[in-house]
Amino acid sequence: VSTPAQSETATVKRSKVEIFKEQSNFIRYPLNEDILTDAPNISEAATQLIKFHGSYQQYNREERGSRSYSFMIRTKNPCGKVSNQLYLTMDDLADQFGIGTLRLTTRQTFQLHGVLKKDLKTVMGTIIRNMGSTLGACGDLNRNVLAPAAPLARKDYLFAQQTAENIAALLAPQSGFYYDIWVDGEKILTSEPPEVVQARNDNSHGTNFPDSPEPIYGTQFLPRKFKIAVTVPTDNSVDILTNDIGVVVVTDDDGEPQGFNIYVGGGMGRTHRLETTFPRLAEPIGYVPKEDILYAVKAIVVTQRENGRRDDRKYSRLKYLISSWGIEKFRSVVEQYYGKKFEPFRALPEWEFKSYLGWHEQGDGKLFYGLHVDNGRIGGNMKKTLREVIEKYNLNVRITPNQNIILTDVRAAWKRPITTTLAQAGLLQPRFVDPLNITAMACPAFPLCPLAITEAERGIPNILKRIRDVFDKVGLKYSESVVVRITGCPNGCARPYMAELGLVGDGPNSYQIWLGGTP
Amino acid sequence: MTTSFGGPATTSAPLKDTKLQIPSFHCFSSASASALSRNALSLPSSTRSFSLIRAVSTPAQSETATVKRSKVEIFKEQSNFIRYPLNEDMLTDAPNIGEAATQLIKFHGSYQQYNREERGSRSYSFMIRTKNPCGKVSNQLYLTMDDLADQFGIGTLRLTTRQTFQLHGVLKKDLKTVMATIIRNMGSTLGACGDLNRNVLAPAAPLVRKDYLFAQQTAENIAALLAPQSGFYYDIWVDGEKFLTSEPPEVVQARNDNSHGTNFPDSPEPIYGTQFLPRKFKIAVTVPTDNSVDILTNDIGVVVVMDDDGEPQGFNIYVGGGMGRTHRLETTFPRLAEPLGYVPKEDILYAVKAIVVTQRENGRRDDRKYSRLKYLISSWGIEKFRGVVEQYYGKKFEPFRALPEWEFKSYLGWHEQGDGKFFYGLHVDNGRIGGKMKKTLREVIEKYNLNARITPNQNIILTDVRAAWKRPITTTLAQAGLLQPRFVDPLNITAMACPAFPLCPLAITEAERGIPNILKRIRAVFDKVGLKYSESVVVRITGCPNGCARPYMAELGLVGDGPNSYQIWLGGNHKQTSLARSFMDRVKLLDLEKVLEPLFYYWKQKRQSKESFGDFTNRMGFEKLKEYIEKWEGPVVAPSRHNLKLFADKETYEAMDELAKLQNKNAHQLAMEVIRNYVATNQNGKGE
Repeated sequence: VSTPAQSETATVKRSKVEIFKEQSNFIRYPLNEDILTDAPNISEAATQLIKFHGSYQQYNREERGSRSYSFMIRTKNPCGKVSNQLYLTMDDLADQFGIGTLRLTTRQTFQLHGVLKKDLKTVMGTIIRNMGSTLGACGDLNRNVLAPAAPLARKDYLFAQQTAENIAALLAPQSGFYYDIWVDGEKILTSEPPEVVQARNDNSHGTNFPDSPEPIYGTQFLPRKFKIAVTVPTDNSVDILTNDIGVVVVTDDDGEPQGFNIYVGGGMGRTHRLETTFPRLAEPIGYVPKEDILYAVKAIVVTQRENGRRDDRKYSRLKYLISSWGIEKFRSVVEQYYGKKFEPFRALPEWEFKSYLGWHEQGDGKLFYGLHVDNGRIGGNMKKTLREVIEKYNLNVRITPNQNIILTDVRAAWKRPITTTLAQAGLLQPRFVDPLNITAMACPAFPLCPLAITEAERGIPNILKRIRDVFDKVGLKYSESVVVRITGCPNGCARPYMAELGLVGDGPNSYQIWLGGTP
Repeated sequence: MTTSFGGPATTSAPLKDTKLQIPSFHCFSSASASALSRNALSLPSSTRSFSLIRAVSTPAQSETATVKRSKVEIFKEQSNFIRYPLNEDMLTDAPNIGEAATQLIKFHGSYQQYNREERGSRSYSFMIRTKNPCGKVSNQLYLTMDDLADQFGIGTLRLTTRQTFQLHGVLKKDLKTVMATIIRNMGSTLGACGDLNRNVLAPAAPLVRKDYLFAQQTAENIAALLAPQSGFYYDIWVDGEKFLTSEPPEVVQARNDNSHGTNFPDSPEPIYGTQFLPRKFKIAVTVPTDNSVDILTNDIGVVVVMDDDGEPQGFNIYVGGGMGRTHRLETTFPRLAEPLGYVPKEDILYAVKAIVVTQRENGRRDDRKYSRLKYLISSWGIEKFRGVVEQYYGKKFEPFRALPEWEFKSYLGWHEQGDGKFFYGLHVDNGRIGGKMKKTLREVIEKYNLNARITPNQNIILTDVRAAWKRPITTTLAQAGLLQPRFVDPLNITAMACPAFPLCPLAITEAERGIPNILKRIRAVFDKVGLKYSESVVVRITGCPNGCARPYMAELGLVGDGPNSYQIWLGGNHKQTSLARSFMDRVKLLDLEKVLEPLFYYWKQKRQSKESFGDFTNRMGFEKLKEYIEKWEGPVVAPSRHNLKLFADKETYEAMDELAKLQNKNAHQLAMEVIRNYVATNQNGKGE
């Protein structure tokens, strides 16, 4: 197929961030120099670059006088997988360098708040050396790849999770900037599956920048953040339709994976009072055989890389490109990079939300335990107790897309002491959590997020209580519930635009009310 | 193999083995004696009155000018019925009150305390304890106590083993406000401390059953009977305003009866007089099998006896239980109550009064360490004691009725009341209600307009819950850490600790604040020696020997005897019917595992079927246990088996099976032999 013509004119308009990326020597300068100064903060250009490394510079917006800067660090955990070693490390780091809490995010990652600049290298180095990474957790590149967190020993789930990990590896930056800055160039990567290496290096259809340290991303990386989720039919615990790319395993009658349905163009961010910005549901682009999934994903990413707007970041997401072109034109351009035609979308059963809370069989003789954590905030006695249990029984964990946590590989004999110990720390079986809380989500908002307009995480407990009171008043039973999501700004991090009742901050103590999402 | 020594170690507190002697005859029939005694007229007289017709002789009162009395007796005598100088000290600007007043305020339900962890000048505060017979707390009173804890206390409430609230940290300037608020909201603190009858216990369960209702009513009647009458409490805290509910007529009648010389005629305190009792006095009422009240640890234990139709007929009475002691003073000891006899139900108040009066007249007043009823009974023996009580009672006690085995009932979790409603027993660690749990509990009690009960194990029961409220209440409370019993470590369910540091003046070391970590260490030892999670022992910890959390009834009692140091007591049981004995002195907290690990291992290995830890320690004898601890080298490590996870294809397996048969083995055995040979021939890299 022909490669799309690249028009290059000297007068193309680009946003400031594009300049920063171009001049950064692959996301290094001036971050590598700013990190060494005694100043508590880093420069504007460096604040953009550090996002690619998995960190945001923040300051406490409730303090007056000079700003007290700190950094939020976000991990990369495809499928939400966290090894025992990494969990214990994050728990320690939160106490030693953070604000004493860990947060579980809707992207199945940890967030660590309150790290000072002088401690950044220590914290990053420690995470990397303990089977963790923050590379690409933020910034204009592929973010954490979601998959159902449930550790079910089933072909479809295992395949979805493996595929998520492969996609994450495919789209991981290659130029080594991350390791240069945080562990002085030490390489701490696990080996990649050969099919990932092959797919990344393939340039049969003009996808790659030949001989570049970043064959897929180039110097400019992507125009904006990029989110991918993989799941299996019926299991919409990952909120598949809110992702730039949604990948759904299609199995045959024997449960053997055959290929994938692909959705494109989902995205939640918007700007208040700018009607040309909007949340969007992903739509079907087609079906691909299983051996082609990495090539198809790469083709979609490259299409966005080449055609996504770089002049105004508010319109840079893939959803705006697809809205502008229409799905047909988009599909045909992607097919040029893919080198094949997409097959027709396969029929799928109805989606369900699965919380995976409570005790379940893994299918291999062991159990897993899904724990509800309000707003994903792990702190205080709950944090201490959770760490004790994970350490004592040597458990691995998973983070769910609903800000909750799953303990995996639990032997039957451990079930009762674990249930009891955690219950005493407030980590209860789902029967003991208000149904409103089970599905509610909120973003961190005040005091650290620079985008926040009003409260979300800190305000949601009282808001849910008031909603429950209204339920009581109008005669709705306790077992009834609605999906409530609250964000302090329109950026949509807790996906309020998919909620039955979404509250989106639009002024001090003021919200837009969004209705009509389906659970 | 160790040599066993004959017989268990001698106890530090030998108990007399008294057999109950059945009287050979009665002078009067019970009906006529009762009628005659009850209806006798009292002649006007300026001295103690005597009826013209005497059923029995009244003990002679010897009065000598040289009798020795403790300082507190002087304070009581000069106090104008527990008023002066407390009423004056309350008015000064000083943050504390004088020594005499600190003794008097106890009768009002308060102790002066100071934070013993602060240096420099003492910061005084007062602990206030409520009076709640049967542990009953009205909705109104619960909400009031919750508010008072926040406004005037340290922000927490404590539930006690006497089924009362304790409120800590009240300043002197706020005392009157707090006391008055409690009184005006259906509460009282009168007699919660001091030398008089304390809170009367009864099972907290709000069961709609004749026996339980009767036990609870009887507890309330006894509490009313023995409540002070001279009005000092209301004079000081609500300026004389009277806030009493009407009393049952049988209580008034029993209190006023002076047929057998029990009362001080024309005194503002007909039962207590100016001197009140020599020491604290504790009474518990219960029904057969239900030993949730720890019946044998009370001065008087009262057990409802019913006929075959479940109708209450009368009561068995125990006397002489008590937990307090002093370290290294072997003449002080904890003691189990023993049977005194049976009384018909209409006579219970008279019998209780007679016992109280016997103690009032004969309990030691020279040395408060020996003032409790248990020492009087130990000194006299039960026969003499019974004889004296009967003189005040005006009848002979009937023989003790046979009772079934005692059980401990926790009443935790959801239960039917029997009237279509439910009650919910909540475990509260050490009875300490604070923080989010306090806030949420208050919300639930207020929202659903619930009444509450305090249990003798420092827990709380929510009563009169409609079925439709069960789930929201369960969920809301679970989120605040108030969990169904299935979610509480079994060790915590039965564990108790007293408040100890920083406010209790008697504390030698930690109890409440230390117990969470101690229980965790005990659980870790259980894990280490192979005891299952569902197994448990009754652990109780006090910071001093006074025994407020009843460590002397525990299977494992820790009694503070020095900084971070405890005596270990063993031998109590879960049913609360066996007294523990001192096993080791001065065990440092950091050395706890050195004692517990061998004990629990020994228990696991040598116990008889379902034998509890307490029973096991009694059976084995303390000398043998001590020897075992001295020789302890750690648990015997069982040889472990490892799985190589060997899988073979069908052909290989069948070939192995054929070859194995030739050697009279199975395929697995042959495979293991091949592997062992391979390892042996290739060990240390030496291949053949």
